[in-house]
Amino acid sequence: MKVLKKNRYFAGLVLAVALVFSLAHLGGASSSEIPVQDKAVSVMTDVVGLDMAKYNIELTSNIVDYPEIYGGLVRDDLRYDIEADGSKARVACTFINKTLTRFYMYPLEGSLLYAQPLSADQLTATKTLLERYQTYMGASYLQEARNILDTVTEIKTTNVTMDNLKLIIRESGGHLNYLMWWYTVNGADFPLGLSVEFANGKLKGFSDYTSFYRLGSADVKISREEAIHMTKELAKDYTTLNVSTGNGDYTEVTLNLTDEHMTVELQIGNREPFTFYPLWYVRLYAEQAIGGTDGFQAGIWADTGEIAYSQLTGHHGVVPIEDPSNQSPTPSQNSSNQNLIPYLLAGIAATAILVTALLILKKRKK
Amino acid sequence: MRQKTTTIGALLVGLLSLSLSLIAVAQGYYRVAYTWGTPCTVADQYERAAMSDLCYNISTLIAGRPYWISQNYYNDSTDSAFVYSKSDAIRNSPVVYFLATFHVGDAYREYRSGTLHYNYYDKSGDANGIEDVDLYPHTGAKHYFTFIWTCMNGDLFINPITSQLCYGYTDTQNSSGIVGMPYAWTKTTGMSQDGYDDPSGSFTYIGFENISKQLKDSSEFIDKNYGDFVKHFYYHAIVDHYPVNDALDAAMDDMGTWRHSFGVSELDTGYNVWHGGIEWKCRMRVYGNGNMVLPY
Repeated sequence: MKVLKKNRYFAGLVLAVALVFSLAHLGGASSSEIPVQDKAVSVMTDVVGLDMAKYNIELTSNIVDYPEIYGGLVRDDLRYDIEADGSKARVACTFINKTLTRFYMYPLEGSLLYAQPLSADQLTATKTLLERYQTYMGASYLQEARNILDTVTEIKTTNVTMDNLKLIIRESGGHLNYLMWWYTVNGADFPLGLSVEFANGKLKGFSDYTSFYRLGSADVKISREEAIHMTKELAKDYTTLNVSTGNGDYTEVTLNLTDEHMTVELQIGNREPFTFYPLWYVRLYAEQAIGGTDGFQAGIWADTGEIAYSQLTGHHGVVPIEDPSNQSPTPSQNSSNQNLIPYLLAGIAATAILVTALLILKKRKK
Repeated sequence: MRQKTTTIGALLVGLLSLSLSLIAVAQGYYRVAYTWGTPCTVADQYERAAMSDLCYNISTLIAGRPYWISQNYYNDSTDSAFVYSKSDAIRNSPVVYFLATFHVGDAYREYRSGTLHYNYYDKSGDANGIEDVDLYPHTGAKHYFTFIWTCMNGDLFINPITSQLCYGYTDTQNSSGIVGMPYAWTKTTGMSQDGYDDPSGSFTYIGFENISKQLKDSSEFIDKNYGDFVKHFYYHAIVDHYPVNDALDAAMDDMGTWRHSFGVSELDTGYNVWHGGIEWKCRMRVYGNGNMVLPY
């Protein structure tokens, strides 16, 4: 735990010493050498515009790991509690390789306090946020993201395109849910890595993976028809189901698939961390759902024809095919109080060890 | 001399045991987590395996936490009478103040006195499972966090008496009792209907509106599935102590796709499923307080 505001002078001194040290020995500090904690506070102040002079800020969690999904790059997952008179919130910041990728705010009490308020109009607020973020990051892709956003004049669920850039906007109840930027190559949409989210009409935060995302391939070598054919072939190995007879046994039943309501979409997926490829998604439906199983689906990489995944589809709500006989259940009864026993045993063991140790010590003294 | 020392030792043991119990009682004390599930109505063996694995995983994760008591009642112990009796035991226990419930299985709906009710199967697989009307008298109070992975048991629907959208009401027209599983588990009709974007209150209930996803479904993640998503959610909620909404977002980010929060995932934005000749609009719903932090 760390109270930043109260330790500001001390933290400043440490930072100054660290900076002098690194300048003296390394000939200058790059952005990656600025502590992620400082970057997080800077984003709160300079990008989101929170009035951090009014908030007490406490770093409640700082988890550092190297997830496989990020190719072993270091991830710093930070959580702050910020609290001022009548305003309390949780702030989540994630950094990958010391670069900010996620920033979300979860108000707990009252409204957030802003030194640089964002407009109540969510489109204007998003434009302001991106402008500040561009100033903070100095990245050119943000200008393109702003340009396409400038063409939007009303809050509604829509897809806007400008050249090969696409802005997806989702709205509900008159409020923005999120804005997400994509780009289109060979008919497939790939994520730029940038999104802004709102909760109940107010800015929730944003994510930016743009500097990590890569296009693996945009080649679509597998046709729609080939993807459907491959999925149907795969499904042949999965259509024998085991259905409960109601008395603890299972019986085999065949799932019959049909072309009716078939879903086929060209999607994208990441085969390696942050690297996206075109993917055919094919879902086949059964003539009749059996035991919650209602069809079969597959994801097929459109550039290679390799199978990404394949499985039966279903849901958790069915009518049983047979009426099982009524049974009188006699489940094992584990009362909550019985679970105190391990604690008591641990206490007894600890005391026994303590007493034994005291006796040995006493004997030795004699 | 030896006899005296033994007597003192025995007294110390007794005192320490007593003090440990008193400390537990004085702290308000135990948080209990139950995982339930019924595979008997699920035809897909891979889904059954995913259900069993998830319940075991959640229960084991929580069992290792201080002051938490965790029991996995997946499969044969998921019997309606036993669910109700365990719920009563929690309500009546002076040493338990918080119950976290997870259930995975199949839902069914049934008319009672002309009103359609919400239910899900117990181990028998017949239409005599955990039913909203029957569950209601056994809940409330300490049933703060409930996660029901079935179809329909997170439905929003029109209250025929008030014509308002709701997740539960008391059926005064047909006198069939209370309607709706979120209401049955929490005993309140006042939870926020969007606990993710607009959290409030003391309870959190998570369920599916209309048709649920299967746990083994990897269409949103490719090399991971919804079972993995739930495991990561519980890890963040229980181990990292993230609030529910933060844990949902972080779990979605952990899936390694371009969806870096729950709010942009299919679970929240919705998905369409054809069933019985109808295309259903489905989604997961978080009711109540998404800011809830599961107790340390």
